[in-house]
Amino acid sequence: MSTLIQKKICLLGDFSVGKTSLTERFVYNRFSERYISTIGVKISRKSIVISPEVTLNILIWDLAGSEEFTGVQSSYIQGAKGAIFVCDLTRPKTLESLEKYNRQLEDATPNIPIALVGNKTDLASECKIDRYSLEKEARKFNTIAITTTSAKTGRNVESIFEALAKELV
Amino acid sequence: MPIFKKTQSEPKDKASSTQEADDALLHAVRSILVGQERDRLKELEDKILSWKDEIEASDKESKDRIDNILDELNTLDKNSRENRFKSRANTSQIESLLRKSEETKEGLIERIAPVMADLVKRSVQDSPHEMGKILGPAIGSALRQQIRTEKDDLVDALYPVIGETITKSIIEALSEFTKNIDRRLRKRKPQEIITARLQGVSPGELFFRDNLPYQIQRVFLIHRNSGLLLTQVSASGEPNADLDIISGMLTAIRDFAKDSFGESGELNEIKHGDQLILLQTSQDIYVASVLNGTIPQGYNALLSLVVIEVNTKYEDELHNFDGDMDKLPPLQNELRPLLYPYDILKPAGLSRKQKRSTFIIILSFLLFLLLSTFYCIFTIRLWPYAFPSETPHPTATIVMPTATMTQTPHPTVTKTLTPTPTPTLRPDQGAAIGNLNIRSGPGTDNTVLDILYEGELFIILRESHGWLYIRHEAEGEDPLEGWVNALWVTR
Repeated sequence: MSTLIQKKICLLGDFSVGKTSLTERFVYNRFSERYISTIGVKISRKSIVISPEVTLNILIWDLAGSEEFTGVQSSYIQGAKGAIFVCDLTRPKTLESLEKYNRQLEDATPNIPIALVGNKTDLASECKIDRYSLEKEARKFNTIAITTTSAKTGRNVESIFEALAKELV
Repeated sequence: MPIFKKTQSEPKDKASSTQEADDALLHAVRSILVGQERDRLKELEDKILSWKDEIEASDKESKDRIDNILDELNTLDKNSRENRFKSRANTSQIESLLRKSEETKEGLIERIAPVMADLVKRSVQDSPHEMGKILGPAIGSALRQQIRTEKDDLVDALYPVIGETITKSIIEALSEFTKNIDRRLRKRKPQEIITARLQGVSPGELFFRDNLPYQIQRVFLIHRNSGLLLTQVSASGEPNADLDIISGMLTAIRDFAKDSFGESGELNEIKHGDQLILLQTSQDIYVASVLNGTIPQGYNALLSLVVIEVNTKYEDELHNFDGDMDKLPPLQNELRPLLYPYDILKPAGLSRKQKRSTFIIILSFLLFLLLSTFYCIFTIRLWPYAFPSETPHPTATIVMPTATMTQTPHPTVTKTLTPTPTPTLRPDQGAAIGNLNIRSGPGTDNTVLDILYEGELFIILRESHGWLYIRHEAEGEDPLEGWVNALWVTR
């Protein structure tokens, strides 16, 4: 019989970087151009078969971002075993904000694995953050994986979630 | 035209004759000189005259046409002038109307009002659905506005229409409700009524307290820190794939309430329609119970008790829970009392005061019984000594039933109490315990066929409503079948 493991992870990042879109793409494999701002928190679940013996149930807490960093409710981060930091490749400011999210995460639940994601590679001509900047920023956190994604095309979305998932087991 | 001029003047006659001669001469000369040309001229002249006539005729026709055209033009001009005049008049009228409407709304309203009602009426008649769509939102909005501003007027206006209906409905509902309660109260067992009286409440009150409807639908046990679902039990047993998401959201709502309204309090209740979610928290876990109806008395306390007990019992496992469900103890059974609390939450026992009263009543009753018994024994024992000369009446009363018994052919009750010993019987055999009538049918109305004497044996063929159909075979007699009362038969 397969062992069931449940883990809570959080998606953190500024307003409109694509946290909800990444979750929607990963959980339901869909994308919507329509932007609906998340209020408070949105919780989704995805089961991943890590091995024939282990099934991981990831509870994804997609936390509402804000235009200017105002922080997230610490209680929403508590109990999380992993986090995905998301920035928008077309807005360098969203990469800078991640340090503040990291401080809040460290206060609530220290030393958990973090995956750093630069989202919106589909807007290639408008990208203002390069790979080097991402890696530089990643050194400041307990980063276990870095990638650039596109929730619109689905590029690298599943792989980054799975990379974090394997780290949790 | 004369070619030569007269050169002199002579007497008139002479002159005249000369003139004539000249003319003739001239004519002759002319004829010689221009005779041919003259003819040709004449022809030309005729032609010219003819052309002239034609031209004149043509001119006349043209003139007529021109006159006609001119007449038409004049008419058109006249019409145009008239139209222009009318147009000006209309324009000035419109301008005047516009000015009037701009100056005062009332003016416009006055002009439109007379036709407005007809306009609406016709539109409603022609296309009621379309008008409904158009006017619906406006009517809704108007009603809301009216309710805000002139609520009392609206209530007064609507009361005659709906007040009576509502009153009637309420009366009917109450009447039905009362009947139901009454019917159910009548069916209550005597011991329930005694219980209610002992508890110091009316049977009705106890009935309500016990029977206010509620149903626990599902109970969640959730890890407090992470919001992960540890286990759950449900009344329906229906699986629900999203229970872990619900658990997460419940946790988020709890956390949100706590962050927003202060750490000191806890969110204990969430109401959604008829459903109520009750929450009770302990150190590492919290329990969420989803129920319909009224919260049963003591249920919150039970929730609190169970969640603390579970947390204490499995403290290490719950405190160190890291998502591995296999490491969890079997928690489902711990939640069962919360899903089916009906036995636990039965009305509490008697209070101390009630218990004391009950004890005093029972003690008094026992004391009374003891005293009565003592009095009776004392009286009976001392009676012969107190009244030695009198005949003892009780002996006579004891003898009387024996006399009755011997007079009737049927056995009496006394005999059933002391049956005479009978031989061992087969399963299908029976024996009469006393003299017994064999009847043609099951019942005392039927004819007596024969008599069975005490101890006589017979075969029981079948049984019906306290009567036995038997077969009796006596030596030297034909077998007899008939009905006997089972009360007087031993088997």
